[in-house]
Amino acid sequence: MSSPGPLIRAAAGIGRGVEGVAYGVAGATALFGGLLLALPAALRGSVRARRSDFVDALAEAGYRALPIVTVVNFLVGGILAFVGAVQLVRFGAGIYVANLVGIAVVREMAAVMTAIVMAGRTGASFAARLATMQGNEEVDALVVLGISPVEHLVLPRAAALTITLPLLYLYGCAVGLLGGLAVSALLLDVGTAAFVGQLREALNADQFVIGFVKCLAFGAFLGVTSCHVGLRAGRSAAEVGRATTSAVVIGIVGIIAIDAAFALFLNALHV
Amino acid sequence: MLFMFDDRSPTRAPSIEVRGLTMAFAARVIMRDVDFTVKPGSILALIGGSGSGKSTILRAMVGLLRPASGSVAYDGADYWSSPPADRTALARRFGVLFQGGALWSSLTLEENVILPMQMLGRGTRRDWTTKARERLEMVGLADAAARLPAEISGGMRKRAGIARALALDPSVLFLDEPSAGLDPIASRRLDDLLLSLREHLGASIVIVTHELASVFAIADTCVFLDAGTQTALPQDRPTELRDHGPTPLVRAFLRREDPNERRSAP
Repeated sequence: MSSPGPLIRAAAGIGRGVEGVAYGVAGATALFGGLLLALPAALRGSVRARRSDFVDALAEAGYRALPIVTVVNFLVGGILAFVGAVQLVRFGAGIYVANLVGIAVVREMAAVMTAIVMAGRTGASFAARLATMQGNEEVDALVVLGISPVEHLVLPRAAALTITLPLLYLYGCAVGLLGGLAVSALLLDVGTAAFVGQLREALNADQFVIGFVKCLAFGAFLGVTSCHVGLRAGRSAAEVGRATTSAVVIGIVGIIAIDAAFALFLNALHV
Repeated sequence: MLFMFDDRSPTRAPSIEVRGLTMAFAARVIMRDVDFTVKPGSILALIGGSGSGKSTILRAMVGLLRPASGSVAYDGADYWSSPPADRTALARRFGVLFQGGALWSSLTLEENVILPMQMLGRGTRRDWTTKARERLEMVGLADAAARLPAEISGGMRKRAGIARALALDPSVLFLDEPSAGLDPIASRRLDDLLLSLREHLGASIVIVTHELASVFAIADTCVFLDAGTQTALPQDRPTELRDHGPTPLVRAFLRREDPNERRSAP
């Protein structure tokens, strides 16, 4: 029997890839469903999870991420101000840098950049941790006791990311606006009072609500997908690396896709 | 070495009947039509060469791997066709030691033993701590209770895994290679511990092992898995299989002889 040609092999490869993605989406959706089912019990405090694990996950997804969230958002705010300043000054509209920085940071950049940072940092960490546990049979040790890995391992981590990401977004907004203010003050000689006054005109509560809600979705998505990838990992050490890479790639692509979906939805609503 | 137990197992050990068990990964059959019985309070050893499917069968018995066909019945009820709630209730009567110990790496040894009790809501924190210390003392790890799994040796991890497996007073213990990596004295102590558990808790024990000294010392019966034919030989006493086993391979295996060398000898 002759071996298949390159076209057939390529088609088979694409088929396997599509099948893998379909299984991944189905698995992550099932995991999300499992979390929703566990939520009432979690709110009553009757899930089989340790409070200390939740506190650790909160710290991992929260204050320990502050330094990198600070640096990234400050620089993004500064870059926006710099790019805006170069263009707007030509038209004598330098003061409108505040509008540009304000809307871009609050509505898009703080949410997306903070979520991407968390995908690379905390999502990767959760995936690696669970993949290692899978390799060491630690997950099996829970299953044989009748302890659900969804309740015990996924719920604390997914809940922590869903709670902390919107809070980090608010912090990221503040730092990003500060970055914009710093660059504006240095390049354009715009005073703090003028920058803040312009910001107050440009921004309203809706912009923050949009960013906040997006970050809730990003947090839940990252929590579920990173844990799902970790739990699906095989038993070898190489699988830990593979799971970590997958978690970051899926996280970043997913965040951008969710952001695009929000943009379309909000545009349809004329918000 | 004598081990003392204050408590008896809350439930008597079930009889276990494995019938026609076939294990496969996708199209690759690992073992077919395996039959054996574990009488309440007895010790059965699953033996065979590396890769013969011993651990795979153990995983099917504890609910981690669904068999391709066949049944694993506890007191007559097939585990795999029981409703999930019944399976969970039954699994809580199991104590399982995994090959590498499978200790939860972020928890100390004491926390590892406490966690099953804590999660399954039995007793108070003081009860859990007292019992965890007893179990760790039983396996000679009282002084290491506050250490993390990464800070102890492989043999100590195995013993800590046994302490954790005993946390819920199981009526059936499943042990995957418990003496691998242990020195001869520690291995002998482990055998004494298992005999003591059977005597005082009335627990049934299913053990996967390559340690023939342990097999002869503690197993009431054993099942030899032949990787070549992917079948299991009829269950029998270890000495019976060694002296009058149905195939040269099992007799050679239990005598620690190389069957190929025997055949080529003049």
